[in-house]
Amino acid sequence: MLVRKLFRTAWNYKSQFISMIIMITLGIGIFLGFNMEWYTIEYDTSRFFSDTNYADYRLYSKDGFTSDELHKIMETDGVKAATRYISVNLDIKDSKNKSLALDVSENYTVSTFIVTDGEEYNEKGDGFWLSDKFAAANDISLGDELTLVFQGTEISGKVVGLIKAGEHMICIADNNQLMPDYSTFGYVYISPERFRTVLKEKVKNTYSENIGKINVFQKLIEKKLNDMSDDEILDKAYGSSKTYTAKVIGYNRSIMTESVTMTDTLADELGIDYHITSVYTDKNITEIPSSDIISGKQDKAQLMDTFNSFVGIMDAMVVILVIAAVILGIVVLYNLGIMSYVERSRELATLKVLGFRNKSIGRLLISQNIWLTITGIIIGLPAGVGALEWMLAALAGEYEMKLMLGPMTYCVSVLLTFCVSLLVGMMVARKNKKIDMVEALKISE
Amino acid sequence: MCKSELKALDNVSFTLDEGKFVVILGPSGAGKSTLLNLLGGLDSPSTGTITVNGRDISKLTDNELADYRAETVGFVFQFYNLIPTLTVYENVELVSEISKDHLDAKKMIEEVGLSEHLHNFPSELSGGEQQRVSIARALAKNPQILLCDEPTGALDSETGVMVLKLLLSMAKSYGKTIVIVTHNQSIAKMADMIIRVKNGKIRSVEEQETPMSADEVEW
Repeated sequence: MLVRKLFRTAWNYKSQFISMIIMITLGIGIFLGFNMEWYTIEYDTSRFFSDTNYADYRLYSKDGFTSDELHKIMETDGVKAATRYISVNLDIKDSKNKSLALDVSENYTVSTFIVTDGEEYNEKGDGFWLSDKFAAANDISLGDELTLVFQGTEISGKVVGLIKAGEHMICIADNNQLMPDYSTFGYVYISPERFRTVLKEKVKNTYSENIGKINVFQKLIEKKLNDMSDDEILDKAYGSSKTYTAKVIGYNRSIMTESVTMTDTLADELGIDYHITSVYTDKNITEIPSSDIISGKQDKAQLMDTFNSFVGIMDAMVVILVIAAVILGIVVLYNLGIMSYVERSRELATLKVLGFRNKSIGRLLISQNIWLTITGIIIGLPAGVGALEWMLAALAGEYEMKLMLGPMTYCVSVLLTFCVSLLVGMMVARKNKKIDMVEALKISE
Repeated sequence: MCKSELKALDNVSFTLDEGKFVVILGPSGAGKSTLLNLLGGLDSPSTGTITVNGRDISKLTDNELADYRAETVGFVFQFYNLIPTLTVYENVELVSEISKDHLDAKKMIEEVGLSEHLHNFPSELSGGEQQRVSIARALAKNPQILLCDEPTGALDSETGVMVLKLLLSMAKSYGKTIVIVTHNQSIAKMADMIIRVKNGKIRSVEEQETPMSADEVEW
């Protein structure tokens, strides 16, 4: 009977109860949101790169790398895996302003990709493994036929897989593109076999003999393409109005900067006035003595420390926000609970007068909160996930970020909400113990 | 600032016999409701004892008082105090969850003449009907004592008489001791015992050997 009363009371005081459900929903949603952001950053900065064996180093050579050179690199101490790798930009036939970075790697255990849909990678396959975001933005599905054009040579095939690749986490066509735009530029992988048979004539001596990019473990080396040497670019040195013309002999990609790289010989030939500001070395930073001529030293560990500090600050902020959300939730839920209780105090006093024990009425009040919490959780979980997905899709959809929520996040958010709700229920139930039945019954309806 | 001690009841002592109809009579603020609340275990005296069936209820714990209210006394209030979210049947049936020796809810509702309103909510009933539900609920617990605080106070006189008749006849048929608190002198004419209260003190305790019936009383 009391359970029936519970539900009818909830219906009669629906505005209050809906407020409580909304509060719980918001609490769950905000908590999930914080955790999703938290976990997503962690995932994208570790798991995603880790899962794709993202290259630790990239080696470049204007002449490319031979198989022998690759093997020598692989024999170096500490190198677990390496691959020769190329990436060239191709146009999509019969489309305007749409192009794809065509990627080929000899060893897909290094800087590989995650297949989100379709066939697993096959190193002798004929198909395309296309960026899932590019496919979505251009309404391309598995099984669709694509024809790409490289300097007049066409390469056609079916889309056999949709992928996410660590190499293209921030997918831009060139330095002129500030933000990724998957409606115009994406990436596609083909097998080395397919590359040899179709583009070999155009990219001869660059892949079968000398691939210019080597991924060392999670490392990638981008090969220069000799056959592209007919292209020319115009560029200006920073701070100068003078323009220089040089042939493009290859593309490179770096997570640190976007730039044009040339040899000192070429710079001298072109008359570019430059001076050396940085020296790269394989020495341990502690082995480099301090000197007046060295303004600063930076190593990989420092970069990682900087990043870890950033993540640490983010973590602290999230912890503070979560604590604030929990406190806010307790205060709001308690006040709503008390308001609801005061409005029904006459009814609850009647139950006491009839002979119901404090414990029974307390259970009623707590179970009411539990039901509200269950409803809030059922709505809050998908609403929180949905809202965050929408936000990230709208604000950061151009990046190769995969939203992640671990089971622990669900467990913690549900448990935390239950605990808060239980605590508030117990606080209200405790208040009921002290109710003055005589006074409460004097309140007229 | 000095605090003055306010005594709602002072030096009150009387005995009620089983199965009798007792009226506690007095003006507003006399302390009659306080007396009823003490008898019902809703309040505890600061000093003194209240003995029901040989058990001093003034020393009981909260849980023991709750059990006492569940098993020994039934209440009928001026403003009915029904649970608005439960139907007529559910309001009466509710007491079966706390009283071991409860009576059949449907039978009680039938006896107060509300069989056709089993599934109505209190807000759908008139004041008289709500008070009849309240009587059915009080009796459904099968208590030894029925405590009524101005049971006709919120009703017009015609309905009040009808409710009173019903209350007395049911209490009699089930052999219950009934205590009614009122300032209505007419009701007192029907009682076996009249306890007059004023300013927190008992002015008189009067037993009537030949109480009038409801029909004989001039309302």
